[in-house]
Amino acid sequence: MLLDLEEELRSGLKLLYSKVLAVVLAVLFLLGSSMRCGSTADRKDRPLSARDVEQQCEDDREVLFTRYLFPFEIVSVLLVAAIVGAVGPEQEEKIRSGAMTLPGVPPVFYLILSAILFTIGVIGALTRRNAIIVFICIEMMLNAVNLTLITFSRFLQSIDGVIFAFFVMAVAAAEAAVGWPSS
Amino acid sequence: MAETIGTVFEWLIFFGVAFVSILASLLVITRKNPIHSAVFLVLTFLCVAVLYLLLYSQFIAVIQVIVYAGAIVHADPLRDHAA
Repeated sequence: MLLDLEEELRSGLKLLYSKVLAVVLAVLFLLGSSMRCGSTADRKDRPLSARDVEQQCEDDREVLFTRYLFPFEIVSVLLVAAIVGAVGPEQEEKIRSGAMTLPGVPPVFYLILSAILFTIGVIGALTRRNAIIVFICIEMMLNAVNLTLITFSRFLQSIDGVIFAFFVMAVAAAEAAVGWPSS
Repeated sequence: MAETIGTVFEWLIFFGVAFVSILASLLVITRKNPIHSAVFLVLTFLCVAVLYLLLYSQFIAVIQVIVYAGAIVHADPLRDHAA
């Protein structure tokens, strides 16, 4: 965010420049304000009446929109940035407290990978003429289905998929034991 | 923080293994020599076994390695062809 200190801390060089700049600006501000106070101190000896305050407010208003229009706009932008920066970390904190840890690999990725493997197996089984390659591709398809079963068994918190995958493996092994020597 | 690092490793392992398995399965169906296909099939099965481990199914992963990568390829009739 705009006022995220950690982001600045990660790149220490920028923070150093910011510190130097802040010190220089603070010194300048102190000098300017002391000079201003020194120049106006002589007019502050008598108490202010309501008429004086009104007049001064009117002067300030007028001066803000005429002579000091540009600094006024800059200050407004800075204030908006400060507001955004103050609101932003709060929301970010909310997000962090909810999901500070990176979410694990979602099941859809496993399913997509399984679908890709199954499709490659189908393509190989349909296009290759060698019987051994066809058997290999069938094994790959069975394996892809196993991956789907295990994924659902994990993300649905059920043991059924594991048992089913175990049976599929037994059948695949039996099929390979019968099929490969005969091919 | 440790959980975050573990999750980052989970993502890295998943994508690496997924890439290798897809590549190996593509090589299975494109190699002319069936022996090469069988070797890449073993690689694919090993990658899927790693995915089973990522899914906290250690038993299925071990069975996968023993049955597929071990027994099937060990009983491969192709070895006679190759000899």
